[in-house]
Amino acid sequence: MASRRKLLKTAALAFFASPLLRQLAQAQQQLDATRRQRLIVMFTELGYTPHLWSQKESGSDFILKTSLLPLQDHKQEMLILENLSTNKTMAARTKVRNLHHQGFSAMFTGSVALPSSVDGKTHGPWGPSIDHLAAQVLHDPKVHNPVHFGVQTGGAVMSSRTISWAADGKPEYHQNNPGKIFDQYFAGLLSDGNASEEERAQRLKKSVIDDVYADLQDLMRSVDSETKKRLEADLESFRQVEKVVIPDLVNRPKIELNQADYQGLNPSNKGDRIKLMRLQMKLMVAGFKADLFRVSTLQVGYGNGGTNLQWMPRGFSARGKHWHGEVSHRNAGNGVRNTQEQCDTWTAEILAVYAEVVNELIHELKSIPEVGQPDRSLWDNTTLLWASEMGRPEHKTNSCLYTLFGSAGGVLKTGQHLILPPNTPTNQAQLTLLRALGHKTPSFGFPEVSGGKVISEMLASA
Amino acid sequence: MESALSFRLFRKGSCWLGFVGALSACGKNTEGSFRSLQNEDRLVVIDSNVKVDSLPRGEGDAVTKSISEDAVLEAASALVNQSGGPPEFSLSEGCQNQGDLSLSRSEVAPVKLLSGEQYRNSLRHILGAVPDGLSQFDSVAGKTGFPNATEDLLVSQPLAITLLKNAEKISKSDELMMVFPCNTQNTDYKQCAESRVLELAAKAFRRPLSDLEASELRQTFQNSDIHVPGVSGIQAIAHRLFASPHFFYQQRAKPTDSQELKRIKIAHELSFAVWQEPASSELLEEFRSHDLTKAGSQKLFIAKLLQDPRARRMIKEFLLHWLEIDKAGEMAKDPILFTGFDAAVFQSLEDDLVQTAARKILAENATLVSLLTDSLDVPESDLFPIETFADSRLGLLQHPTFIASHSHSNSAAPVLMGLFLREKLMCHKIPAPPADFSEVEQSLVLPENPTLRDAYSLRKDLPQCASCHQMMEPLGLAFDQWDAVGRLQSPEYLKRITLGDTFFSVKGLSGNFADATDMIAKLVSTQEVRMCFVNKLASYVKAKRLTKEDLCAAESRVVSHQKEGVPIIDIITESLVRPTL
Repeated sequence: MASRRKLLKTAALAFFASPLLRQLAQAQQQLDATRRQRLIVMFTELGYTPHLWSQKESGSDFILKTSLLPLQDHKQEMLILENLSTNKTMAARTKVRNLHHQGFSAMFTGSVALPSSVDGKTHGPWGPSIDHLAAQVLHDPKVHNPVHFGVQTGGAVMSSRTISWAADGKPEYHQNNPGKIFDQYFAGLLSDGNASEEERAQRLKKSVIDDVYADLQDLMRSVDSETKKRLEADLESFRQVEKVVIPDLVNRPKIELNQADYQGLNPSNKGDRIKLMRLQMKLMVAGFKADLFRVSTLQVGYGNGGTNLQWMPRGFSARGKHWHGEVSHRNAGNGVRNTQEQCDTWTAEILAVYAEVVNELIHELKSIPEVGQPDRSLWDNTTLLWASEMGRPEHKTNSCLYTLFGSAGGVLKTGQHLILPPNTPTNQAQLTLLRALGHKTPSFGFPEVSGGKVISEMLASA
Repeated sequence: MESALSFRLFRKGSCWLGFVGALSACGKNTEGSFRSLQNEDRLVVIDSNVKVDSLPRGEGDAVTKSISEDAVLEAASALVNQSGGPPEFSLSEGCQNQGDLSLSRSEVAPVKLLSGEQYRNSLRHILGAVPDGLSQFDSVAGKTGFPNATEDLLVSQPLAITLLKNAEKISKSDELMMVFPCNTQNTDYKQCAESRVLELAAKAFRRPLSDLEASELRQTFQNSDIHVPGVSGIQAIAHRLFASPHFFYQQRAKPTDSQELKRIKIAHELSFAVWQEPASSELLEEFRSHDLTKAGSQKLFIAKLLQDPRARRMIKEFLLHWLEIDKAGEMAKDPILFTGFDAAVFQSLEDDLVQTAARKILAENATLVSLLTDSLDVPESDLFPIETFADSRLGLLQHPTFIASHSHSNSAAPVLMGLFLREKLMCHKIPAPPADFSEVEQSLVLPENPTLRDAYSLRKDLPQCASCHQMMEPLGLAFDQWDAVGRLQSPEYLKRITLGDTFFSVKGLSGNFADATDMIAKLVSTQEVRMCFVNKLASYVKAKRLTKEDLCAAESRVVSHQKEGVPIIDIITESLVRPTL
């Protein structure tokens, strides 16, 4: 309750009172929209069956197979990269090798677990992951950090629990409960269409946050340096969320989510798993539409496959366990091994289920006009990367696939299936994507792996 | 010489192969210095500062000749105790036996974020009820293992959103209007509402307002009310008050505060710790003439708090996190093997454990020993009956709540149980499993219809698993008579196992044990376990990681009560007292 806040309040009121300032803000918004890009990083666990994913014919012709068939409508927006590998990343700085865990972090951070600079223990990849790097260039500085949607994520080992790392030793976990994401970003923000009343409410919210800043700064004056540091971190959190709590009125998200929509859903059940994916994507779309965030991740399962998919046939889950043992290890229990062909088919079928939901997401984004660009859709400014922690499910990390949807604003050349030289490091593909999104980073992950090389065939200008 | 020794060790002593390899897997440096390892007549001497790889041939021979599985176990145990083991305190060195746990209380942080429960209780305290529709938040256990440590309580971005949105919802709630019985039609409405606003602010900030604060609030109220007639002015103020850091931070007494302010702040601090809510006006009134900066008055105040049923909240929060039993939300047992055992059954068992323990601690002067070794009654349930077995099921660690919490969905889990005992009862640190642990688990070839002991017998022969699992599983297997929900295993299963067949070794204690009751009784007799408990409880009550000074005080309390054990209520009281201001 300090007098300093009066200045803040005055400034806030003046902003809302001045038509000229408001026009300037709208102009800035339109300018911003012309360069707005988004990124979705999607992970599904335990690899692919490459020959049931996509098959290159001649030239730019390729045929979508079982897993990708539901995405046939978007074939010309796809860029499929074959022959990627995380082997060089995994071997770069450590001899310890685990295909699930290190492959997981290598795929999304271009690095693997090393002794952390935080406490000297080995507990996470070098980081940051691609979503965080992309957010550095895609986010308006005021919008929120990448938002992480999850479906049955978890796992005992930190390095394979999440694809998102803000930095070394700073994992960011995925929220499996759509209700919690709704509460955080959307609840209480429903518009009643009464702009003047809303504007007054926004003014109040703004001045309340100003009070919080002022009170925190007051408290900081009379505490020791350690407590002051904690309070400064708290203050920063309030600064970061200001945009979420006070979204601009034009883009305010109109979304409802009832507990009955998500409560009691069992992600091991096929129908419920799809429902959960849909709900998470619905929230993602609402967040994009409101420009609450521009980078998000969707993680389905985690990097060692603890998932129990109850709808799969006997043999797949013969021991009541999970995908990892039965498919990656082909272990059907009682000493019996599943056939490779059977495992390939199961994997392809599961991924086809996910592809169907991705198809819905893309259609939804295509149906919503971009703010300030009525001739473009949200999808026109969105790139989606779909990857797993390995190639073939049986622990192959030299046959990895990246599947990109969207051209990063026309920079990437879509409608092609690229067969890259064997063992092309995934770091190169990530670096190319980041450059396409406007990042100036000289390399991605361990610099010695990608060496600053981009994959020129991925680019439209090539 | 070095390679020859290594060769001998690896070639002649297969156990050593496991031992050395496992050290590496446990994150230890195999070239680190080892202490003397003595196993009765089989003397294994490794000079304390000599690297294993450079041992003279003679000593190396002695090692290889005398090596045995027991020796390896004990050696591994000593090594874990030495470098991974109790990192949270080291006995005696530099301590000047201080018998009072309160002595270092002067260094409490001046500001502490309210926990989720304290936040909700504060609202209840001010408004009579928690308004509907507020987003809940719960604090996560941090480095102390408890969710209340001041250093861990930070405003994350989601929490910042929650606090701001909740404040808005509170400002529009019926509960808020209930504390404003001012009639907008009356001529004195404004005067009435203004005085209520100031009362509300003082309650929200839990202290008298400064003149500047009062004046600003009046001004804001008047301005708001002019622009927006009716209740909106009140709402605007309430929105600010409940979003204010003065509400959601607990501010502790500072030396520069007035005597009255110190009294009020100390009362609230103690009340938040024990009741998880601010001190009631009745209690503040009762202690109006007491100088709460003095230890004696604080002890009286604490005694008053502990006599109240609300003190169970503190005991409950401690037990849920210390015993790691706060699992009702995630409790899922195999519906075929344990038909009827659902979250509701677990919740009722958990409530029983907490009530039993709270009664023993608060009303019966329980010590750690009595808590873990006295008989207990498992509540009768028609939904899922679990027998008490009064002679063999003793202490909280054999309560079905605890056993179900440290078991898998379809079987008991000696690894989890052993991990708990090592980390929470002995304050050892067991390293995280290696990244490829599930690969190794998948590769184990178990016999048909295996017992839990079969899995252990395979793991202890694997170099990368052995040393850590030898620390955990022999302890966990003592519970092998109980299934995944704490019922007695089937007679067929019990026929196939011998409960006392595993060797364990912890500091100052080694051997076999008859069953879990025998093991717990032996463990709880050690100074190490008692120290660990005092350490855990004091760090919870003090809401911070303990300093060396705290640990010395804890040690002296344990030593002075070695035989009968320290009454738990005494540890709580001493840890709460803040005599120096």
